[in-house]
Amino acid sequence: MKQPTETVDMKAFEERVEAIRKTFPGGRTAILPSLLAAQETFGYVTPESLDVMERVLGIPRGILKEVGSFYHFIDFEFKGRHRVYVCTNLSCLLNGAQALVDALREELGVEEDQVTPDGALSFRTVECIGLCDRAPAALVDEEQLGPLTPEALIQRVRELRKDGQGT
Amino acid sequence: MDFPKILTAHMDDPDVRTLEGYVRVGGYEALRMALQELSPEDVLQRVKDSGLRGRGGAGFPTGLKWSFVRQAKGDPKYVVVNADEGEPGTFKDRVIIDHKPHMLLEGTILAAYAMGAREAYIYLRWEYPAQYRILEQAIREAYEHGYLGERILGTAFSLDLYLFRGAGAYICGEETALLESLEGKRGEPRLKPPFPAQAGLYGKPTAVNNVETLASVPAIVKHGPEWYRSFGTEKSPGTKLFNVSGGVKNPGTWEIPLGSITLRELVFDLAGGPREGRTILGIIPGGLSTPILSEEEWDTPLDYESMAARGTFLGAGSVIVVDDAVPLPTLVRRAVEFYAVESCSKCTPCREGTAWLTRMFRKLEEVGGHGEDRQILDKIIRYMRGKTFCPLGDSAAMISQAFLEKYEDRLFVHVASPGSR
Repeated sequence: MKQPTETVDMKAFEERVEAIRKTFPGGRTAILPSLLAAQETFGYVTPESLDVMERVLGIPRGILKEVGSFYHFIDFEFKGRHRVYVCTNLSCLLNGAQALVDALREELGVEEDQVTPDGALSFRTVECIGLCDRAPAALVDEEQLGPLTPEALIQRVRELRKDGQGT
Repeated sequence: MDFPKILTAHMDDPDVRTLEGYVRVGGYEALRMALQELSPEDVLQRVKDSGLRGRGGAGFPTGLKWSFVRQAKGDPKYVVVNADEGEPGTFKDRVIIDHKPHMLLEGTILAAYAMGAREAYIYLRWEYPAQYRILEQAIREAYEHGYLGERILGTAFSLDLYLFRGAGAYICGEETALLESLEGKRGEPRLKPPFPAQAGLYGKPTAVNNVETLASVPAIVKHGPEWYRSFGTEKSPGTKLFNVSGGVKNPGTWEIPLGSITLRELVFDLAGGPREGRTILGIIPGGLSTPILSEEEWDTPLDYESMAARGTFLGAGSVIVVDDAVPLPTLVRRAVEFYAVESCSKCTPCREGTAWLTRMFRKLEEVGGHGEDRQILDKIIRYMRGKTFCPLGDSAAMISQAFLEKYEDRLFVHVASPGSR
């Protein structure tokens, strides 16, 4: 999706991992920040980004994957240019979270965790995101949204898909 | 009801988020005074005498924890801020960071001074991206104005503070799992003892404190323990933030002196009570992991002891109001499913138990239950309680038991003969 800038991204990413390594010297503390940086730069932890982390951090990819796979918000495969995380824990459930999930399923025509055919996005139900006073709530990429109606969420999703056209 | 505002003072002023605004309302005065007039021991003594108890859920005396770290052999020492607020129904730390990030930083710096730490970490959950940016900005400001870094406020005390972002795992709110995560590992809890105070981050003495706990410290240091003890009860001194959400008219956050009102008053008088046309079935007092209270139990005062006497916990003060907007079997299934999703899978009773609980409650939800199901559920619970590595699995069993005991009629309401669907 971002071919023209890929080499630039890789160079910038390498510099970022280098900076993370300097911030958290001595050992593995740099792993999680580096994985998150990869995800931020490339949308997910790509094989190429693992090459860079192996080299800069001196930590084999087996360990990087072992650590990363423990956490819900680190992906090792493409999950769309945007991601929608809908909270369905109790306070959101009691405020209509299921209607948000149903609306997304209908609008996108995909099941949870599947990427739409245009590569624009995927959605996932998640545990409490700490927006209980704004239930039902969701994270759209890094945007905290709530209280949401199905209509408002779908509108946001449509905007995101429009943004992605032509890239 | 008019309550003193300690944590929530000036929260309606958006400027207080900045260092300048925070200083204008008296912020960092406690730190200045401590560094210039008080020894680390004095600061620790004030916190000890205040009776402040950990606000993350366990309620352990903060001053005692700090004195363990201070006395522990080992260098360097670390302060770790637990901002991995993942207990469903809890958003109080988010409110503090949103409005008064510098109050958290000031408390953290005071803690480090009291314990002789030179490095501190904030472990913030991934799900709080806006709060990450707020803290990033606040830390930058604090460095620029000499509240962090070398020779703070011109004294001999120095401290570096690092902001570390989690990546989504409820278990990392458990302090030893958090430390594992911070060390770049999977967030699996450690065996205790040794406790983090002896062997914590990188094996060094470490104090892991909740955001609200540390945010309470500046006022205690500034005004003294006696003043702090004038709020709350003898055993639960001070004020605490309470979050109310779920099936209630006005969800939100209130700062309340511990023990001064009951759970019923909080939900009905402050949070507006039931929603139009709905009935409140039960109230979860302290976050999902605290057993639900049925109507005859709502007149319990909001403090650690009173809640414990009811067989539940004040926890993080995260009240989830359960009404009839969702069928109770669905709600309970969803509640236990949380533990199955979040179990780190390290120990068998939790990994298997949470999965089985989910499966059984899904059966009640989908096809109804019959007599034997109750016995199976009781057996699963018996095999889990007290037998899991950390409190996660225990919580799943404990809340299941409370739902079963208090709402058996509703959970087994669509009892059908086996195989009728």
